[in-house]
Amino acid sequence: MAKGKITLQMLSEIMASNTGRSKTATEAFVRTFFSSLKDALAKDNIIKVKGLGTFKMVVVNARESINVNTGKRVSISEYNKITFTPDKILKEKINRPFSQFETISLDEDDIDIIENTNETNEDVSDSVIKKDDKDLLKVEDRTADKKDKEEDNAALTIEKTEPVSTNTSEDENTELIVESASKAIVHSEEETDKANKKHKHFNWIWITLLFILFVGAAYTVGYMHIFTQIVPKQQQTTKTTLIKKTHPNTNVRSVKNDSATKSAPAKTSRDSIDMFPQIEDGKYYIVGTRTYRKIKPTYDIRRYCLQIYGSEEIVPYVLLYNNIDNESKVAVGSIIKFPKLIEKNEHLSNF
Amino acid sequence: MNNKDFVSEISTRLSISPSQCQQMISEFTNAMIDALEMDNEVVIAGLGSFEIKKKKERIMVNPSTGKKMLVPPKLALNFKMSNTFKNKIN
Repeated sequence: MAKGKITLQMLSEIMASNTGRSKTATEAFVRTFFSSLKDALAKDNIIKVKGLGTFKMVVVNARESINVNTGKRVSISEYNKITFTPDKILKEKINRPFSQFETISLDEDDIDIIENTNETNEDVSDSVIKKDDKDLLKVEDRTADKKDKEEDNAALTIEKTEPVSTNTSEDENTELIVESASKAIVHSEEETDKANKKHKHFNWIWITLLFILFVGAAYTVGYMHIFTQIVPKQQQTTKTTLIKKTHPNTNVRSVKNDSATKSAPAKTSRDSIDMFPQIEDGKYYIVGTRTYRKIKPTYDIRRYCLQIYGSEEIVPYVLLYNNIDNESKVAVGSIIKFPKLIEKNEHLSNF
Repeated sequence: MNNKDFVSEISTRLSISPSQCQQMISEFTNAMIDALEMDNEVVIAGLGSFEIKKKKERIMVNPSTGKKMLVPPKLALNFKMSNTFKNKIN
């Protein structure tokens, strides 16, 4: 963040161009303004400037500290400091980009709601109403009124407003959290269990559940793909499996065993090999993904191959599997799939 | 020193009316904001510098009610004394 330094002259130039006053006039004003300010600060402890703010002379107490270089204890003596607190108008002008946010009250439950954003305004207000908290119910009435009015109040700090009135911004709430929460999850069933659990644990449970769902779905899709590519031999086996499954007297266990044993060869069949790109003269077949790794400055594909397979001879398979033409062009931070391999000799024996 | 006294001091120095002076103060404030908004800092020699800093959102507890509140992120104006001024007042 390169900061440009604005001088007194530049300020007076900006002021002149904004107002149409002459540069000499604005410069004289700015100079006088600050010199008066300096003199006033020498005289009084508090200077209030309407439209700007208050400058206050504060005494900082002596304290003990440590010299960073030597590590020895050092005592910092008492000194005077000038503090500046901007005027309310100035604060609002400066905070304009963030003016739509307001301070809101939180309950333990609310933290969960806040963390799990992307809900509509209605969802949030529904869930809030369901709680028995009187304060929140009061706020709901106010929100209904205020939703039509423009929200032009600046951020309300706790010293200046009642706690109840600050929970008026469900709209802003979701916006705020979308911006600030880096790992927000979309889910619609936040009603279920969490009241006593900490919100972080709650989050992780849902992440894991969703992940398992996605993995399961992806696996099922992959598995269905195998079934659609039917080879004559396989057709018979799948037919018999289906027949056995529908037979009323069949023991459930035996059906499971049959389908299990019949599906095992299906996995290493020609179908799974056709699903992935293969190296023709290579020693191995690619039959799926074994694991994923992220490329780091100190870990490239070769190094991961050594780690995962024990040798670098698999590197061409990895490059082929990830559609990489040029090994040196693999970007740091990219996720690489490392294939599951079977030796070609071993596979042939299954036929 | 309150605003009235400060403004009257400036108006006498510049030979302008206090209302004119107050008007110019707000014009000056706007000019300062324009300058600050483009990620700059306004340096006044012998006094200090003004800078806009972004404050992250935080959870705070209302001391009177004991309720937790979420304060949203905001931009705030910051003033830092210059060394010359620091020495002057100490």
